[in-house]
Amino acid sequence: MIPLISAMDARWAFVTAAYGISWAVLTLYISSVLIRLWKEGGQ
Amino acid sequence: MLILGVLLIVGAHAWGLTAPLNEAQMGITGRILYVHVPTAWVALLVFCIAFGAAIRVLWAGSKRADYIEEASLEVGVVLTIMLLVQGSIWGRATWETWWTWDPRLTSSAVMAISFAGILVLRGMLHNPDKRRTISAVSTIIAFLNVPVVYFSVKLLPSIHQLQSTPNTVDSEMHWPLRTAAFGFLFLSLGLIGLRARVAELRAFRTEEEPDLPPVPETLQVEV
Repeated sequence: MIPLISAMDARWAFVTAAYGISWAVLTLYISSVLIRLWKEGGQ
Repeated sequence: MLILGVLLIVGAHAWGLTAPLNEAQMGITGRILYVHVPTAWVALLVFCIAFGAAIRVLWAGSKRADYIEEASLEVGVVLTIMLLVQGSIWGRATWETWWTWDPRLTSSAVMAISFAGILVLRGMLHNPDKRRTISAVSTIIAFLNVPVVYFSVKLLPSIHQLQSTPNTVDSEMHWPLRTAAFGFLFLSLGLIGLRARVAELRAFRTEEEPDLPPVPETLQVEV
């Protein structure tokens, strides 16, 4: 079993938050760039 | 390049979250290294691109360099905001505080605010020539803080650890770190390319459109 699932250490919450927030910010930013490009007629 | 970057980051993070970790001091929270360190490396590199583009704007008056500068500033600010959030979470887990006025943290926050300020300034300037010049000069001035961010942990008293390099992390962490770093690099270069294209298209559109709408015939006065 991978450590993410098996470990009961509360510090996983910090790790998960750091990765989760980073992925959320990246996803939102990539989407915003693609939407702006589409609106400007670049695609 | 964008897709390659995303794939590399997904792979590196899956690797970093599941691989055995030989981290002596931080334990599990050391896994934040795989996202925090590449974000920091690439954020500084992206601001170097913005600096180079600003020099080219002033040197050659290049419009293309201005679009790249705008794109790099925006991508760099997004990465730096991510960096500060990751660092804050890491600080809470290891130093038991979300924030402290440490030289590395403070100079990083100043970096984010100063470059974000330049983007706001660009939005307020409607004359393209004036915007290009003022933005380039501001970027060069704001860039003076980037070496301060990098060297702050070496030259100033700081609770932040020294830069993570292959010499300071376990050998098993090298490849997940490198893969994530290349992922962030390719993703950022792809985003800069797309965002610069947005700036270019926007410039063409605003140059085609007159600043003011035509005066209606009913309001025109015969002289």
